[in-house]
Amino acid sequence: MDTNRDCGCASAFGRIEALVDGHLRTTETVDVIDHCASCESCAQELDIVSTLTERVKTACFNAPPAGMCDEILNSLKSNP
Amino acid sequence: MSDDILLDLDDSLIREGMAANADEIQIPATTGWNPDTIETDYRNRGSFDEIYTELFPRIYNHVTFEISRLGMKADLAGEVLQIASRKAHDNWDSYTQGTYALAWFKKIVTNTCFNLRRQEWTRDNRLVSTNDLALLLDNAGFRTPSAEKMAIERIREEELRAMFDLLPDPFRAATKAVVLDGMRTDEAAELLSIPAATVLTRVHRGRARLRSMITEQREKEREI
Repeated sequence: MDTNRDCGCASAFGRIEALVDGHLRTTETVDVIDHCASCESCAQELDIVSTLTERVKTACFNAPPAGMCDEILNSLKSNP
Repeated sequence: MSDDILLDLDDSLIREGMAANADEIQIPATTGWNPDTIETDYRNRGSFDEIYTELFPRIYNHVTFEISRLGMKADLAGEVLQIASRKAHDNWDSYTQGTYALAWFKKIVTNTCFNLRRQEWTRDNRLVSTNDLALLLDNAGFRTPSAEKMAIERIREEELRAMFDLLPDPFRAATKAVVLDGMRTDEAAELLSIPAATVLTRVHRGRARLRSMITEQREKEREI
């Protein structure tokens, strides 16, 4: 028996960051997501941590390649 | 369970393969949230080209974020972006001018990533549960956003970079390794010569410090 599979708020809340960082095993992931689907406060925490992580990555790290936006726009127009 | 959560769990919102269509993607009505009144730091009205160009860095980042989270190959980013951009472009008429444009684009990106990933899952005979859908749809900004989330969404990139630089060295190093560089905890622990549990603690505190700084910044802006 996996004794770590308690998925009340305390357990889920503590694993949300690991979930967003992609560090949970499948069973743990399912447990946390199950919990968040029925718990507004944990779902909100997941939303906040995901948004913060994404914004930090954008701000500090993840600029799109130069010219990529124009290339895509041009391809949308040239290949309707 | 609120209506928006029920919608998040609705399997019918995910379309099969390339048939996924932005036409069918709607921002559901939610109690207490009127998308028309959402404050954003970008325009929510204009042509496809105007709004797409302004949002492109954030759309691109959402693509890479979802790809990373779903364990997809990084070199799929271009393909995902092309497919999602095509869907958005071809269905621009279904976007309601003045509503939350970034959420509209994110939803299309998330659906595109999920559909590509599901094709792989199906090939691998791996189980995809409704719960996976909840996670994927959760992040697209369709749940009634909290004040803290909206503050995070609104903060300017240069402000966020400055806040990141203000983190104490140990927190910044651990957060950079795990969040920005995508290292596993054990890899970051080896790099930083600290126990894995300490890495997790420092990343958590780094995030908490950023959240606190963003909230304080928002409060200062309100006072002004």
